Amino acid sequence: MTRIKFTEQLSELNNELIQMGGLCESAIDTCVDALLNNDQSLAPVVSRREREIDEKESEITGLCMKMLLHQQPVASDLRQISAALKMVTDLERIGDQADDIGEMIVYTASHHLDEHSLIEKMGAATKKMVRDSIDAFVKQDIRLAQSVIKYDDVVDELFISIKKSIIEAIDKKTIDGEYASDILMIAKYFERIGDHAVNVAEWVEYSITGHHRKDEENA
Amino acid sequence: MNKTIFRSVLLACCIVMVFSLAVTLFFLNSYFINVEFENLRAQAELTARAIDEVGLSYFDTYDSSVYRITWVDSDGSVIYDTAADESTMENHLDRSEIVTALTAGHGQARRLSDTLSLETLYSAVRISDGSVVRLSVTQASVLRITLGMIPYMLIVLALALVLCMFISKRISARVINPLNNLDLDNPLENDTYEELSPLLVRIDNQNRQIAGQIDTIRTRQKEFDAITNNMREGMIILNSSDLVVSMNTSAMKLFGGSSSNIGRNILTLERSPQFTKAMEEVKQKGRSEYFFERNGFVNRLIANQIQDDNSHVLGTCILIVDETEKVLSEGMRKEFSANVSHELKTPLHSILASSELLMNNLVKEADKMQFISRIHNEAEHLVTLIEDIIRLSQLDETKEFPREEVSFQEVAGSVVEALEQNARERSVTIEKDVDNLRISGVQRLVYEIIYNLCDNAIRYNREGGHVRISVHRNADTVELKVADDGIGIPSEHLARIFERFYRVDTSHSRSTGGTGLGLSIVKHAAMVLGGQVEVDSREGLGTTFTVSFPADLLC
Repeated sequence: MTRIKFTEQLSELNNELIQMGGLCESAIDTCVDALLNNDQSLAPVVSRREREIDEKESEITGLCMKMLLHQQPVASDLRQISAALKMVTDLERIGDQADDIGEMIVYTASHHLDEHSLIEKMGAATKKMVRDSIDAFVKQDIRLAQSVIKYDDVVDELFISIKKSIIEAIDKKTIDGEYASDILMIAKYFERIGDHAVNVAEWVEYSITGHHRKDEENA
Repeated sequence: MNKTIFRSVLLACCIVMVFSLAVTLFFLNSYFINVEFENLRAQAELTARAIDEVGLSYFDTYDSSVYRITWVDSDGSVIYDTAADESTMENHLDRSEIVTALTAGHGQARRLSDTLSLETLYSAVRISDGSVVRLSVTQASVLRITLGMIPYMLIVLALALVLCMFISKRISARVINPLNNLDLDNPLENDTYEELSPLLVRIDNQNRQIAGQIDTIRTRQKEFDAITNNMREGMIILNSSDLVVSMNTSAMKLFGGSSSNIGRNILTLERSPQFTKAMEEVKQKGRSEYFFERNGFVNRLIANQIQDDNSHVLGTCILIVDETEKVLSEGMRKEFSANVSHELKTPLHSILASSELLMNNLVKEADKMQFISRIHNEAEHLVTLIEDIIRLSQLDETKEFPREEVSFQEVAGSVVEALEQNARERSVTIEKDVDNLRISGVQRLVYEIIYNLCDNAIRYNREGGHVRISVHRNADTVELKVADDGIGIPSEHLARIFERFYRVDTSHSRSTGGTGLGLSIVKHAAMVLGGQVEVDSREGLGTTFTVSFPADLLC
């Protein structure tokens, strides 16, 4: 009887996590759209998503705590729940960063985005990482999770090239100082989102295999 | 099974035991009593003879431990008794053995004591003086013997219990084993108890029924799959806990799912916030609907709750309809009506303004002619525009045009005739290179095509330009070409020039007097005739429109 209820709770946890993932994806999709189309009207949409994500986070944390206390799970069940607890933290951070980018659109909108193609690439790359990491969770696909972890290098390199091009522009004095710092920050936010997506992927890996990368690296 | 067998075996054991005991006791008892009686009689006769000879003095030496001897006078009074005081004893004439002995010389009887546990055998013999000597012996009754046997019987019963348990276990195992090994898929091929064959026949019948029903269900499922998989619309059916029960190919393609999603939660397929909200709405209101864009297509998602007759929720049915064309055509319709009103309004405003000035005598006499001619020109433009719109809507509405034989040479000739004046004004030369070909078509539509293409070619040309109309036959098409060496069309506009009211350069077009509908009419007319329009243009070098008709239209 308790086991049936526990299984129900586990699948509810799964569904809630997927929904939270969907919210994160939508947040980052919207903010990339807003950035590329200079569409300030999308900024409130992103911040609404961010609030929804926060609500989901506390909902999921509560559910996890309830399960831990009432069911006292062991083995893979425990692993699943602890991975979920860690994942929501990263997902929530992704929502925050997307919201931060959304807020910056107000400042960047007046400029024509010179670094457009690079930022566009970076946005697309982080979008892909977030989508794939959540897909990896949904499908319990360990190879997809590993590909997300690898893909982080692409985003890191893009960040470096954006930084370089901004420095060049500053050297040539072809860029406004405030705008330059905004773009750099947006790029940094994207890079952070990529890192959180990697964390999510690592927790997916952990919930499947029971081994976490960080442990092995330390060992 | 085991218990039942155990109980019946035990019951049988007990019954057999009781009966055999009863029978044995009965037979043994009667046998021993007979023997005892014979003994008793022999003793009685010996005693009688002794008493007959010696009289009462016999008793002086008699040891009364074995038999009790009673001497009864012929009148029934007791003369002597070895066990009791004869004076207290009642008359014995009512005892059957005494009565029989008095009459027949010998009598015997058997009587149970008051407690039933003892029985006494009597044997009486008449002696010569007519008195009777009776010997009696007391022994345990059958009942007492039986009672005495009870402990031993209990031991036997315990043994029987153990034996029964063992036997029933063996029997049930032996009975059940073949049953467990029955091949229920082919029940008639089993070689087992005869008693089972009615059951096996029934199982066989049911098996066949089930197989038939499964077949029907499978066929229906196949039909259902075939129907849904050929649907352009996506369809997903969920059960009451949101697990995917069925999903057609269109839905799989749209959401990027596979058959592995079947049996899993719908969220594994689609997790957008819009979708999860819709799913919640379905649970509350029973229906939800929203538009979403994916891969460049606009889709409408309709989710409906499925309920049975008792309004018990069975699941959800999700339908995804491609509404791209509808949304696009709606947009185009809106744009068209906006364009039409705009295009009609502009010349009317010009007419109104000019006529108002004239009416209020605000125009100098010398300029009057100029204003009147402006009114005339604008009115003329309006008429052309309205004619074009009417033509287009005719093309839109008429599905079938009566076909006739159309000669390209004739039509091209009349077009050139009609446009010669225009061409001369703009100093553009029209050349004709038209083969004598005839197709089955509509004269008016072919005229519209050539007229509008030539009109454009003249209109958007430069001083001293050329327009060349040519009609030739290819392998499987007839190609009508109208080429000019005019201003050309910038490549970014090429995709849209066939749209209604679309203009490459609005300011320029107005000055040249076009309506923005010419190419729409050309495209439409060519489509009605079964042809295709292509355009090839280079900015500044000129434009070539090619209309190709299939060769089987040739007469």
